[in-house]
Amino acid sequence: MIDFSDITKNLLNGDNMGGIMQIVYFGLYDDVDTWPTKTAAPTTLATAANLTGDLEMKVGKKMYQLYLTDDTGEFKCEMVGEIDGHSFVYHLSVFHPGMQDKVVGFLNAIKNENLVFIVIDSDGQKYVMGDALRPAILASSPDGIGTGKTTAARKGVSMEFTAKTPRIHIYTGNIPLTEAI
Amino acid sequence: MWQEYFRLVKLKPGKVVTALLGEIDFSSDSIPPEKIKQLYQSGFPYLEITEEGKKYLYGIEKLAIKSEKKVSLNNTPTNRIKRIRSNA
Repeated sequence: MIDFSDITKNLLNGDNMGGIMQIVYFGLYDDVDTWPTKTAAPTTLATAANLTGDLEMKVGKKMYQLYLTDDTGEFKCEMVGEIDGHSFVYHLSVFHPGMQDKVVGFLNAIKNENLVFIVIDSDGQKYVMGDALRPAILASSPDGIGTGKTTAARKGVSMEFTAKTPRIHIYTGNIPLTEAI
Repeated sequence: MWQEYFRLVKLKPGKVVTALLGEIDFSSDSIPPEKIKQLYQSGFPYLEITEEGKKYLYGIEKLAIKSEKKVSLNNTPTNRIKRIRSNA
């Protein structure tokens, strides 16, 4: 049973900036070796939120970076389900500028693939999309993929990724951008 | 330099976004050992300390030398026999 406590304003150094970093980290779901774990029976509010341990990749695998235009990325937790059956869906939306071969190839490769994402918000707090049971997936392209109509339009790739989760969790581990051995 | 004191394990040398200090490129030689020590002490799972690191950062060599000297000067079997003989 959780030992409840007062929830005060408690902004670390007064910081509470919106948005996410201009980089999100992704990997293939099947390349994950070890998932960070949630506390089975949390006794404090903090342990009910924080994951423990690191997301580690299989030998020869690593996580990658995806650049997004500033102020186009958003991480949201949507509550879903009926009374007594609530859970959450994470939503990550990003806009990658341009139609270069790498991002087009990325789209082609992951359009039906199971993925994992780590998102860092503007205050440095991290979230993992995907867990041992369910992956993150490409759900849609809310602002389209293309050149735009006018010369002043924004040309590039809009993507929205989602992941279903029974709880919202904060990730406190590291992100390996180099191959596991 | 830092590689004398610590070794990266489970990963090829390269970048890691660390929870404590942000992105660090472990293929670089010029990371201050103190920074790596900080990471190691925080429980960073990809670092192991070397014997040299134990000596340099935690002074284990000094302690070992001191205790060795004590043994060699005062408490060797030969010295113990000499002491017993001189007391007899």
